[in-house]
Amino acid sequence: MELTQRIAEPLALADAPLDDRLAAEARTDPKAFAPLYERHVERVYRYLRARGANEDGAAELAALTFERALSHIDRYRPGGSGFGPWLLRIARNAFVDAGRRRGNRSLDLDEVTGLAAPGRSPEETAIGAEERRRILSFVAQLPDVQRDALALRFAGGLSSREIAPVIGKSEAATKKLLTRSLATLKEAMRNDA
Amino acid sequence: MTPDTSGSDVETLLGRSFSLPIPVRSRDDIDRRVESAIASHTERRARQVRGFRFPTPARRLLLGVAAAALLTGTVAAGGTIFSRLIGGAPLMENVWDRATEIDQSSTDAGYTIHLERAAADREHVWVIVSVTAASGTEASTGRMRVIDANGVVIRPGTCAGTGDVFQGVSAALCGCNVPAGITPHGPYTLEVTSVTTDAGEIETPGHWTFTFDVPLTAPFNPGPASATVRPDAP
Repeated sequence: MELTQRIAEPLALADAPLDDRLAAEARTDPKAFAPLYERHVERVYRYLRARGANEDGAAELAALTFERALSHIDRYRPGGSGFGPWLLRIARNAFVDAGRRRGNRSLDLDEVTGLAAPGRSPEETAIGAEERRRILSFVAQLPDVQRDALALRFAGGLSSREIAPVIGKSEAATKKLLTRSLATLKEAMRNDA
Repeated sequence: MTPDTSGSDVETLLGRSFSLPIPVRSRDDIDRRVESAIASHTERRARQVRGFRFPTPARRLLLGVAAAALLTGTVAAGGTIFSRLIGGAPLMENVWDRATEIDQSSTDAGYTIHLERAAADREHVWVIVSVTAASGTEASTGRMRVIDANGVVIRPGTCAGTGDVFQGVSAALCGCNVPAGITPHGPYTLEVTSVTTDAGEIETPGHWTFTFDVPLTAPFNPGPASATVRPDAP
């Protein structure tokens, strides 16, 4: 296991100040929430899909996330960990709540891997689908906290520093968690080859 | 060939695997919900700021323009919520004036929905509805759809509140989008299957059905964008 392996950190949200400005404006003019929605809807939807929601479920929970975010925009604190992490925390809570009501779902591999990547040939798509199926089957075997961290990183696009407050861990513990998760996946992929 | 499963390769694969696009239908659903929430909050905010109660129907309806502007999303197909929100909008007063009075009520689950007026053109079926709760809670229509005489389902875009249009009851103008290439035919059935309270956060299921017929009219023209910033219009 390569626990010291360096994980490439995504760039910090370059537009965080813009998010903060829009969020502040949305407190008095809800229409300012529209560009915030446009900027973040894809990451929220992807995160929910990565957590195992199917298409309809992810759409429902994404809508719920933004409805709640707008309702509680006064609670958002600019200059903190950022609007994206705040939003994904709401999405995470919505997903957990839904899971409690309906029973937790595992990744819907058929749906996930059945989607053709745009701009690829059928052969490339088939190979890509098989690769995705493999790795997602391994992801599905990870502990929930690791799956969550990976979804926040690779679907939500958050850095370790941004993930930490979302999952309630320190930045160092989050980095370790991600490193361990990736190492486990790497090992599983190698053994499966 | 043994696949390369280095750390960075696994990360690339994860990134690709989780990069799922939002299907158009799902995106439309999310857009509608968020537009509706923004419209609801805009209306609520306007009330708080102005502390307004509309003394006359004319003033109330003009006030409704600001909220009805959010209906632009149902008028201009395509574009983002952002672009739609800042565009023009059909004037509520125009819809009201040219709509046919329906005056039907239906009660279920402790809520009475009143279909005040309706209108139809080739692109939209417009319904003006109000909701009263037995508990006195402020409520709005939630999920709804219109079905025309041929069974064509006409789904709503955004419903925008218009102030207390009728006896202190909050009403909303809802524009339902006629599918492309279809000409709607009456009589129409309006099915409402939920109402919402607490700014859309709490949804109560129920069944409220209305049957009505209205003539096909010329399209409603979008109003000037400036109308959206005239909450104090006479």
